[in-house]
Formats: sequence, structure tokens, C-alpha cells
Amino acid sequence: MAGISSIIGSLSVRTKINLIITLIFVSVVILVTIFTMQRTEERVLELVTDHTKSITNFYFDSLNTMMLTDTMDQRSILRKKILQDPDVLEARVIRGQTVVDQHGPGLPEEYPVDEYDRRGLLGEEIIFTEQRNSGRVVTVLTPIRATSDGDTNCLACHNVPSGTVNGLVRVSYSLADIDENMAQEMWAAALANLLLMIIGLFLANFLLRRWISEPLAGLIKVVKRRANGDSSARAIVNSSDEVGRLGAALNTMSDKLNDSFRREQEVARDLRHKVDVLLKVVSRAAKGDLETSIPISKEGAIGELGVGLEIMLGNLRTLMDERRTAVEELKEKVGVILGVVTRAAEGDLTGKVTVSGDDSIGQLAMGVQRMVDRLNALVTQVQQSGIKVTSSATQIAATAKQQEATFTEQAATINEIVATATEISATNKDLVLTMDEVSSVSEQTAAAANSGQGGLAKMEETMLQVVNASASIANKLEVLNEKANNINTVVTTITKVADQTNLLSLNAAIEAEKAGEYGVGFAVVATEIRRLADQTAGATLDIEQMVKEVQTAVSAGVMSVDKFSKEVQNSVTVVSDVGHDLTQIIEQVQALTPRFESVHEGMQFQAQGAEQIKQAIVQLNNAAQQTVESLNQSSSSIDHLNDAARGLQQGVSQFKVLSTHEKESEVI
Amino acid sequence: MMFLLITIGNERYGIDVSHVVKVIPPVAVKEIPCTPDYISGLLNFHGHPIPVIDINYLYVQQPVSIYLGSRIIVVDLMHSKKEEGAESILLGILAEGVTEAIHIDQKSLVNSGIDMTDRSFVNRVVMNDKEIIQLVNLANLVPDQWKSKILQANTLLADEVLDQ
Repeated sequence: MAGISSIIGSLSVRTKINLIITLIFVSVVILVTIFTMQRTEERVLELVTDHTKSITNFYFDSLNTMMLTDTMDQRSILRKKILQDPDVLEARVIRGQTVVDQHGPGLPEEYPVDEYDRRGLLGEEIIFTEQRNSGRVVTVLTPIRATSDGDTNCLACHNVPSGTVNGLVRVSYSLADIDENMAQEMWAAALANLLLMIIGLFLANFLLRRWISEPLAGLIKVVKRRANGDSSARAIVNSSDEVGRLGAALNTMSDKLNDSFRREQEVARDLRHKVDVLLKVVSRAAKGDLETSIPISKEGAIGELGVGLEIMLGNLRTLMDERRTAVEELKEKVGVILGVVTRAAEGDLTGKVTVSGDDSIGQLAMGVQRMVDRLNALVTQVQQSGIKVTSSATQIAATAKQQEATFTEQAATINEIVATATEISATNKDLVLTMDEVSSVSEQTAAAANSGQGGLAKMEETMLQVVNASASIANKLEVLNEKANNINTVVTTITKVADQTNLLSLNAAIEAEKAGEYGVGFAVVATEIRRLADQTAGATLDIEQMVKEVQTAVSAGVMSVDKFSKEVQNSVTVVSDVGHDLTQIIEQVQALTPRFESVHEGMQFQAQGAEQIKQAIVQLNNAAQQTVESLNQSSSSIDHLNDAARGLQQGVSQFKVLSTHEKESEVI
Repeated sequence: MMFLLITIGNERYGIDVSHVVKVIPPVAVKEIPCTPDYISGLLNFHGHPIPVIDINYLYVQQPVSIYLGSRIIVVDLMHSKKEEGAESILLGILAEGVTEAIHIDQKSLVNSGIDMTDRSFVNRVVMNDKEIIQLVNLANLVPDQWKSKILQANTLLADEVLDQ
């Protein structure tokens, strides 16, 4: 792309425009030619198809006329006439099955020969185009239906239902000639277009050169000459179009440039002269000649600069004189200060600076005096401090000795602690063992309680059986009571019978008595009966008594059984209470086991802790020993310090200082 | 002679069986309102209503307890006057311990020895196995004027029974 754009950039404007015009022309010619060709072909095909349809209609109408005039035998003549047109390649009437059935098969060309014929006979109107060697061919197949509502009533002669396909007309029409003519016309039109394009191109080229290329080349030459310094170069302007206006603007610009250049040259020359004069004055002043006047006009910026220079030179002279006086004074004061400082350097700090004043030398003198005073005080202090340091060092050494002894004691104590921790650890281990035993004992207890619970459950079951048995006994006693009651009933009945018998015997005796002699025998019988009844009554009394005793015994038995049953039930309750208590015991004992485990864990942790304490104490012991060692080291350091302090004292004593007394008097 | 023995209080009494029509069990009697306490009520005896008296109440002012030996003794008050053609007057006597009838020799009958008026309930006594048996004076058991009342009552009650 870049290559193509650079090639295009290097071409002249004229060439570019020519190229574009050529491109547009060629595209238009090609597009118009192709479009026209396609449209014409489609039109021609439509026209030819319509024409072929007309031929088929004409053919059948003629044939119909022949049918009506009964001249069907001459239908070959009609066909020949139609085929006389060279473009008509094929013209056939094909008989349908109904016509074949009515009038026979007909001529050979009237048989259906291909798929199109058979489809047409089924009632389909077919139009198709095919490409043959000679060119395009359009074929139209029009089926003929028998109707009664047209111009001719077909059903009058053809015995078929309305709408039946009786036959088919087939005509093929060649487009070869038309296509050939069309192609020739197309080529001619294309050639004409090409010619017109070439002429237009030449014309456009000529006008471009005349109006744009040549004037632009002239302007370029003028600009090149101006660039090479030829200020007289001017463009020739002979038109008022854009190129002409460009030339005029170029000329105006050139004139204005020439004017401004000349003015600048004059100003620069004047400026150079004034600067030269000023330069000379300055260089003289630099060599020390400050007595110079400036011989230039006092106008303009350079003039003002000259006046300023003169004033500056005057000021410089005055300044130099003042400086010289000050330096003399300074030298004197510095000498005094130097004397004091030299004495101080030799160790004599008693010197006094007599210089005063607010200037920097006065301040320097005060500073030196203050320095000497401070130094004085410092040395005095250092001397005293040296003494103090020496005594302190001695004290420290003593203290360090004491500390060492203390650390030694501590080490002994720590050893004891270590022993104790070891004992604790051992005791803990024993405790852990004991806890293990306790844990196993509690597990055994839980097991024993479990078995006790099982036994209790069995006992409860047995008790329940006893309760059931006593209940059945009570039931049986109840039955016995009932039986006794039954006996009572029987006895009552017997008693009643005896009573009745007694009554009967009484009445019998009375009757017998009334009967007198006749009743004597009966009276005996009656007396016997009465005696029997009396005996029976006595026996029943005995029975009654016995039954009563039995009943008493039974009710006593029932009561005691009830009591027993109650007691047994109480026992069951007690047993289940005991079972409940046992369950609680088991639960509590089982709950104990995890606690034992936690205690066990705690003890193990404790043992570990004791071990850790032991280790820590051993580390502490090590540290204490290290401390003792470092104390020894510090003791020797203190000795060194002592030596150093002594050395310092000696050094400081070389300084000669004012006594406190002297200082005070001085202050006063 | 034959006597039917009964018990009144703690004593044994005898009734001459010749007056006794029949001994029957102590069936329920129909109580008659506004009558003396010793009259138990009316008894339906073979279709005839007869008054029943509580002999215990009459003798010792204690009502008869119904035991096995407690019975009603139907007697004919007019038995002795039967031969004169008198109409029999039946009376039920509710008594205790009616279980025995004994033969007594007529000679062993003795007067009680106590000042006996014609209106006393007991006129004679008899010894039986060292036991003194007092004989009930049936004739004085109810006042004479009551006998007619009883008769009337019998008739009235018969009518009532018939009405019912």
C-alpha cells in the first residue's frame, strides 16, 4: 500500500487526473454495455415467447376451421406453411387419447415423442428455452381442452366431458438470427463509446496543461530564484484565476520582504558603533582606569547605559577607599584576638580579649572570649568530673563484685528449682498412672452396676409373676366364695324343704288327730316325717355353720392375698426405684470416664509443662552464667575506665584555669 | 288330746288342734288401715278373707319375727258350738315356733292356779318334760262383739274381693 501511495504521490497532477478520468470512462462503458446486453436479451426472449404462443394459437385456430369445414385431410399443407418460416424449427399437433379413440392415431408426427409431449397431454402449458448448436430455441406447448362455452362447441363433435385435453400444439422457434444481430449492434455501440472516450481524454489533457501545469511551472521557477537570493525575481501575471492570484500574492510578499531587510541593516550598523565605544570604556575600567568619560550621546537605551556606567564607576572609586581603611582596623583587632587564642592553644586559658564593637570582628572577639570562658569552665568541670569518674568506677567495680556473688547464689537456687521441677514431673507421671488405675476401677464399677441392673430387671420380672400368681389365687378364692354361696343357697333350699316338710307333718298330725282312731297310723307317719324334717333342719344348720366358717376363711385368705399382692407391688416399685438409681449410678460412672480422661490429659500437659519449666530454668541458668561472665568482662572494663579516668585527670591538669574565687571576683 | 305348740316371748303355749283348721306358711297379708296393732291384716284363705292377729303383740306387745318356724294357724272360733249349728268363724293367728304338735293326756291338764277371769287368754297349763305349757284360751282371744265384726268384715271383704 505504502509503495502504491508513494508511486501515486510522485506522479504529476495532470497524470493523476488523466488516470481517474480514464478509469471512470472505461467502467461506465463496460457497465453500460453489459447492462444493455442483458436487458435486450430478456426483452427479445419475452417477445419471441409471445410470438411463439401466437403461432400455436394461430395453428390450432386454423386447424379448428379445417375441422368445421371438414378439410382435415389437408392439414399437412397448413403445417408446411407454418414451417416455411426459417425460424420456426418445429410445428406439431399431437393427438390426445380421446381423439385417438374417436378418429384413429393420425399422422406419424401427431404421436407424442418425449416427456414434454406427455406432460402437455395431461393439461400442463409448458414454455422452455434450450441452447442448441445454432443458438437459443424457445418451445411452447399449448394443450387443447374440449369446451362448449368458447367460439366453437367442441363437445358437439367430441364425445368427452367438458375440460378434457383432446390434443396439444407444439412450436419451437429459433432465436439464432436475432441473437447474432444483437451482438453485432452491441459491439458497434461499444466501439463508438471507446472512440468518444479517447477524444475526451485528449481534450482534457490539453486543457489541463494549458490552464494549470504551465503557469504553475513558471511560478515554481520564480520562487526558486527568490530562494537563491535574487530579490528582483517577479512572477508574470496574465490571468485572474487562482493561479494568477497566487502569482500576484507572491510578488507582494517579495516586495515586503525586500523593504524590511533594508531597514534592519541600517539599525544594526548604528548599534554596533555605540557598543564598540562602551566596550572600550569598560575594558579601561577593568584595567583600573576609573577616570574615563563616555563620548556618546545620552539618547536611547545605549545612551542610558553609558550614563549608568559613568555613575557606577564613581561609586566604585568611593567604595575602594572605604575598604582600604576598614582592612587596616581589622588587621589590628585580629592581632589582639590571635594573641588570646595562641595563649589558649598553649593551655593558658586566663587570656582576655579587649576588642569590642558591634561589627563582625567585635562579635568574633566576644565569641572567642565566650569560647575561652566556656573552655575554662569545661576544663574545670572535666577536672572535677575526672575525680568523680574515678571514684564512681571504683564503686561500680565493687558493686560488680557483689553482683557476681549474687549471681552465683542465684545459679545455686536455680539448680534447686530444676531439681524440684524434675520431682514435680516425676510425681505427675505417678499421678497419671494412678489416674489410669482409677479410670479402670470406674469402668469396672460401671460394668458391675450394669450387671446389678440386669439382676434387678430379672427380679422385677419375677415379682410381676408373683403378682400375677397372687391375683389368680385371689380369683380362685373368689370362685370358692361363690361356690360357698351356692352351697348356702342349696342349704337354704334344703331348709325350706325341711320347713315345708315340718309344716306338712304338722298339718298331717292335726288331720290324723281329727280323724281319731282312723288316723293313729297316719299320725305315727306324720310324727316320723316331722322328726326327719327336724333332723334335716339340724343337719342344714351344721352345713350352714361349716359353710360360714369356710366363707370366713376364704375372705380372710382373700384379704391376706390382697395384702400380699400389695406388698409385692410395693416391692416391684422399690425394685424399679432401685433399678432407676442404678441406672443413674451407671450414667454418672460413665460420665466420670471422660472426666478422668480430661484429668489424665491435664496431668500429661502438666508433666510437659514441668519439663518445659525445667528446660526454661536450665536456659535461665545458662543466661545467668553468661551474665556472670559478662560481669567479669564489665569488671575489667571498669578497670580500664578507671585507668582512662586517671589519664584524663592528668591530661586536664595540664590546663591552667581560673580558680572559682578568681571567677567570682571577676564577675563582681 | 293333741296340742300345737307355739312360742310367745320365751314361753311355750299350746293350742288345741281340734280348733285348728290348717297351719300355713306366713304369707303376706293385706293390711287394714285404722285397726289395732295386733291385727296384722286380712288373709285370703281358699277364697275367703279371714282376719289375722299377731298373737305376740296381743300377749307381750312385741310383733312376731318371721323365722322358719313362724306360721299362720287358721282356727275356727266356733268349733265347740258346731254341733249347735253355729256358723264357723275363721281367724288366722300369726305365731312363732309353730313346729311341733304333742299328745297330752287330758288328765295332766291343770288349772294355772292364778286368778283366772273369764276374759283371760290362758285358762289351763300342762307339764311336758318339766316344761310348763300354757294353753291358749281361743274363746277369749278376741272379744265376742269383735266376732260379729269379724263376720261382718269377712262378708264385706268377700264383697270387696268379689268386686275386685
